[in-house]
Amino acid sequence: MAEVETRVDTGVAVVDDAQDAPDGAQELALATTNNEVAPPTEKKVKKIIRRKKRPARPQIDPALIKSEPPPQTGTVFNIWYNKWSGGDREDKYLSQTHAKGRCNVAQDSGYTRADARPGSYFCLFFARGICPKGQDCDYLHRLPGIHDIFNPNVDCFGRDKFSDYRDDMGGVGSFTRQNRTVYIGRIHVTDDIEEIVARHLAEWGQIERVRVLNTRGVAFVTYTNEANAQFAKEAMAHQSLDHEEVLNVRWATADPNPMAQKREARRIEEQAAEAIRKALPAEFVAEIEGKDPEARKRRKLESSYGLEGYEAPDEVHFARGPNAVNPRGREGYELEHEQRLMLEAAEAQMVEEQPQEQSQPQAGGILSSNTLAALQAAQVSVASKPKAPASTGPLVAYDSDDSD
Amino acid sequence: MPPQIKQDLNRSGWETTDFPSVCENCLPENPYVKMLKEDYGAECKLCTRPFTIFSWSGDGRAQGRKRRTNICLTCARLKNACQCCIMDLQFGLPIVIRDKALELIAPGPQSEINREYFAQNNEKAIEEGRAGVEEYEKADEKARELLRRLAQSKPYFRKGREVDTEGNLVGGGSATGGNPAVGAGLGGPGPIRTRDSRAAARAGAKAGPRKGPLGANAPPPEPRDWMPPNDRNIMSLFVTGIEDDLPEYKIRDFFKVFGKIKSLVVSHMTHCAFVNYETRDGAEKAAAECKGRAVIAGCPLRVRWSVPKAIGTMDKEERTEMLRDGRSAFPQANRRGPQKAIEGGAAQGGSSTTAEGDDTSGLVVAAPPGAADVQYASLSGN
Repeated sequence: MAEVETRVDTGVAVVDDAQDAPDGAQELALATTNNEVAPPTEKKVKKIIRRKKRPARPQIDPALIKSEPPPQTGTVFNIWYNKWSGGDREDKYLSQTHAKGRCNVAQDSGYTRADARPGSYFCLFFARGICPKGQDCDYLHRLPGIHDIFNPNVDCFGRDKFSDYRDDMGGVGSFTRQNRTVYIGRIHVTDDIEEIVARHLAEWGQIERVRVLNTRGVAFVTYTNEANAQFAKEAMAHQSLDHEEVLNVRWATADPNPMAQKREARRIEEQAAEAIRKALPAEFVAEIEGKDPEARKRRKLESSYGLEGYEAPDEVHFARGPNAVNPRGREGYELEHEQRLMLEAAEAQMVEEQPQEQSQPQAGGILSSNTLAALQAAQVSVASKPKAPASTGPLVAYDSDDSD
Repeated sequence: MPPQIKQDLNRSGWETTDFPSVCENCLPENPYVKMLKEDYGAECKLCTRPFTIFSWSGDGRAQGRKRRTNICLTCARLKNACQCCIMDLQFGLPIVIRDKALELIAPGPQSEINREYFAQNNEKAIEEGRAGVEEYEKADEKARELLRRLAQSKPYFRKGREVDTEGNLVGGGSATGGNPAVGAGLGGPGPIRTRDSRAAARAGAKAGPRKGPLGANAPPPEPRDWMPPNDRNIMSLFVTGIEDDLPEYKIRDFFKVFGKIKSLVVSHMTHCAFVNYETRDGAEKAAAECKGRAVIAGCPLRVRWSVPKAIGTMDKEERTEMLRDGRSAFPQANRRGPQKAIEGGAAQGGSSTTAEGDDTSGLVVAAPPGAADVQYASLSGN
């Protein structure tokens, strides 16, 4: 569908391009007309697709939905989960039924009501290919991208995660591990199993690596983004690839390969560093990472704070907060500090002890005698702590002295 | 709070609190939040003890969804995390990542009853002011340490960047703090790695050249290597030299500009990949552009025509062969030492023109995927 739409637009794009082309390029364009212009139009097509949004398509006809219990695969029917349980363990996998639908991202995705609301979750039924609502759905009908990052306690469908994995590694998963790898079992074994797996699994997002155990019909697929792995797990569950199998899709356990563990550790460190870089002032980051050649000199000059031969240790120099010694550490806190005071004024009638508690760090701010603060290194390092409560506002401060 | 519950010995560890500890992001804009409180409403997701849950409606959130506290206050304090989203209060990181990267505290016990006991003990310790937050005062210091360490340990593709002859940084693309763990950084192609980069050493490439089926010392690609085969059904390219940290999507991004890819089979274990195009034209275009070699994110690759077959069944000998085979497409990079090998300044500036124009200049840096859109009359003719 997208291709049909865009083909019309490319005609326009070609005309545009010929007009906008710089002089040098125009000569070439005149020399060989058609072939020459083709590659730039490809770029245009991409842009147009992004701009032109279309409504999501209902994946199945609502009239066809039947509310009947699934085929009997166990001995006890659980009406809460709409599932059969119990029965013989042996044929647990053999009794799995094929999924009812399959998501076709290229055809089905589009905007829904959820696109207007920030923080929306993805539609679980869209991922399974059985959402009848189309554009009236309250959840997103598209593929997760690199900017779709959710809190660690929920998955991309908004379901709460647990602290442990299920014993069979199925279900929503755990928040104690960032899992981007999906296990896929019971693949029909053929010669081109790798090609089949790669082709089908690439539909659900950017893949980092695929590992196929050729003879065993098992694959591990790692996506670059956790949300994509969650989406892929739901989308591929009980599906079949090119043959008539019913896949067994689970979360992968941590890779025991030492090289993979090193890679994962490095990735986690990078992720942490990225967040830290965002949290710290840019000058601090540049100085710590040694990107700022002047920083060393400047620190020598500045951080003596009027004392001959004294150089403030790291904790003092890089301390942040409303009463940090280094003016760069105070950046961003002045405003927040004021806001907090305003809020406190409003709440002062309700809570008496709060002003006392707040007055202590505030006094430090009023004093702000740089030398004194620098010498009391211990006190400042404590002062670097309040930024966590500071960001959470007055509520936490109130909480901390009340609940003890 | 029903007071008699605390008297019950079995319930003595249960937690009652009057206020949640949550982060700004979880609370609505309006400072006056209406919350529902329920004593012993649920079990804490970390320590499995009953705790007081608070729930409130986050404004502007989708579906009018209520937010609630997921972990008990004791666990939240021990982890210095928000009770609702379980993110670190200081840097807004998931606590899993913070604990692994900053190594502040050891993760608690794993088994259920141990976790309960651990939390109960710590609750007492926090009450008495013995345990709790002091580990997190070191978080700043550890964070600085981490930044320093990462800044100093250069990812493989940035190695030797400082040793450039002019003394200035080369290659603006990946200098923007790439993410080496994700593979090969953000931006365009960095300078190619040399034989003695870490991955190659791990794979055993330093064991000296061995003659294999493909030939580790295969000559650099010649025109007949990238001439399309007569069989029109062959629409795949065989790529060797893929290193462990080159992610699949980078390869896809590189090859998809030539035509629609039907499937891309990458086996990091065997260091090779098949690019299956949907059309013969795409494959021909890719082969003609690559001229038998490619550099994706600093990783030197060799590109050939081929028919896809199973690659997961190679033995170790063959796998290392594949890695060295990729490098063999770049004789210059191999001959120079590790220090001088990286020198992409000139080729970077000229971008695709020099890279595609003449082979003799030495393709040190491949055209970035975007630049390949430029088509030359000589290439697209006929």
